[in-house]
Order: sequence, then structure tokens, then C-alpha cells
Amino acid sequence: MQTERVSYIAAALSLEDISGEEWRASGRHAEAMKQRGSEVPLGRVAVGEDAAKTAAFLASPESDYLTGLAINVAGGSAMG
Amino acid sequence: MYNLNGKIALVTGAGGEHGIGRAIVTRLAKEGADVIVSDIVDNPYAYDSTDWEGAPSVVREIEGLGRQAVAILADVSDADQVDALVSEGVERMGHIDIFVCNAGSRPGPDRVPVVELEEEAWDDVHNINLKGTFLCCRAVARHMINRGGGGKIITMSSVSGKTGSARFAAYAASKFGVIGFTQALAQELAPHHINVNAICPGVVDTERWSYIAAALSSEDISGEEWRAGGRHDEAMRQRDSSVPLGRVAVGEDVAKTAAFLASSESDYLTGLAINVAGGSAMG
Repeated sequence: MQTERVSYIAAALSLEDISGEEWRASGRHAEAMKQRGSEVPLGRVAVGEDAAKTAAFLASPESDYLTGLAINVAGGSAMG
Repeated sequence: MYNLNGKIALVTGAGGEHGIGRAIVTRLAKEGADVIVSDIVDNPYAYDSTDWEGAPSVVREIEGLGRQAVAILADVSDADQVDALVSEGVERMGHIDIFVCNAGSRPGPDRVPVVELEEEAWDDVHNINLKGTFLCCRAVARHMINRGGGGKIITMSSVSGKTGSARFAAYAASKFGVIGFTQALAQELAPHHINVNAICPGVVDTERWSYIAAALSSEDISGEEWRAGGRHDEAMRQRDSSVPLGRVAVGEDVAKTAAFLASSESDYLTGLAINVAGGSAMG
């Protein structure tokens, strides 16, 4: 998901001694997201709106018969 | 709610009056789609009603909603018939954006313990549910890839595609297979912007359940006799209490999730197997 949170994750996962704030400020966020996007079957990491679409469905009467589900919003990188 | 104007949908197994297929076709048409309605024969449950003509009735219903529809018959377990269904559908309607792979085997002699399960009953279930899904998806995927406009493929698994139960061996194995097939196809078609997702219904109040209830009962009774004897509704109401949300599903419940998956709202979803089961199956 292309959010501020992911800058912290990317910084924490890197081998460098760098904070999430520094990671984002250095402009490396977009580059990292693009790299991750190439690993997703549908070709990009998610944006908030992707999760919002499923949230809107689950918030509507369209989902009145659905409960207890755990729906991946992952572009095919997680299935089932 | 979803703008499917200009979209063309193909739905198999759509001729039953009370079936999931008809509910999906109707819902997609209400969202603006034109529809290719398919079944193995015009009227798969001809004994059930004197007013219902099957696929031709569905076509008239869709036309009554102001959308276009054609009926094309095909046996989904026959590759030549499936290829002809897709090519004739494209010829008559222009193209296919949405495919709902809904046709399923008729329950009966397959709903017995494995030690009593005849090879022919096993083959029938797998030829229709699994091979049929493969053949239909292959033909539609070839069309969608060649056309280059993306698309939506929705397969029909079941809660029995995630958990096996006694007397459901052939059916469960076929529906587990549908989920595996769906995941593989989702990976293959993702670069083409074609989403492939499965729906996993629980008990749905359709003609099919008369056959299941008859087969599971200790009596020597056919699905037709079960239904004609007025025992269907009683059996469904009995099942209601086993569903956390208080009732078995109707076709429209499944159609709601199908409409979501057929729309651009699901553009980032692929390879999923979504339970429509009122909480009786989760995850």
C-alpha cells in the first residue's frame, strides 16, 4: 500500500541506519514503491482508494449476507 | 450502483428460474450490461413450472429491462461447443467483457460416501465443474487477450471448495480444483488486466438444493419428486437456523458479490475466493 506507513517499513527493512522520516524526505519512497509494484501480479502496489473500494462494498447493503470474511486487497500478490 | 453500460457479459448455467445464474444475469443487466445467456438446454428444470421456458424467458426478462440479450446453448464439458459458444457470442454481441462461469453439475448419484461412489458419477461432476470451468475460461481468456481490453472472469466454487464434508467428495474435490485453477489463471491474466476471482456460495435456495436434499435423505426419492412433494421449502427453512445470519442464501445474495467483482470496483482484486455464506464459512 502506497502510504506514509510504508516509508517506515522500507527504512526499517533497509540495511541503512535511516528513519522513516529521512527515507521519505530523501525521495526514495516513490522509487521503492515502483520497485515493489513490479512484484505485484497486477503491476502496481495499492493506493488507499483500492482498499476504499472494498470497504465501500462491505459498508453497503450489497454485503448484507457476508460476514466473518478476510478479503485480500493485494493485486494478486496474496490470494484465496 | 456500478456502471456496466456498454459491457457485454456471458453467464453459463443461467436458464433456471430460481438459480444463481438468472439472478446474476438480471443484476448485471440492471447495472447496464448486455448479456449472453447460456445453459445446456433451454429449460434445465422444465418439470418445475409451466410458465418458465428457461433461457428464452431470461432473454425476455433482460429485454424488458431495456438491455440486449441472446441465448446460446452449450455443454460446458465439450470443448467444441464451448469454443462455438464464445465465438457465436462475440459474433452476435461484439465482444465479452465479463464472464461468469456458473454452470454446475446436477447433484444426485455423486452425493454418496466414497466407498459407494461410482466412477461415472465422479466423472460427471468433474467434467462439468472443473473441466467445464477450464474450457470456458480458456475460450473466454483467449478472446479477452486478443481483444486487449482487460476483463472480468468470475468462477463459481463453493464453501465445499475450502472444506470437505461427508458425501460431498466428488463435488468438494471439483470445487477445490476450481479455486486452484482460479488462482493460476489470475496470475497468468494479471498482465492483461483481466481479474479472475471465485465466489464460494454456501447453501443457496435454488432448484439444485432439491436434488441435494433428496440425495442426502434416507429415502429413495428423486430431486424432482422432492420438489414436487413440496418439501423443498421445509428443508430450506430447516437449514436457515444453521446459518449465523439466520437464513440460507438466495441467488440475489450471490449476484451482489458477482456485480461487485464484475465492476471496476474490483480492479485491484484477483485470485480471491470469496465466501457468500452468511457466516457459515469464514476467512
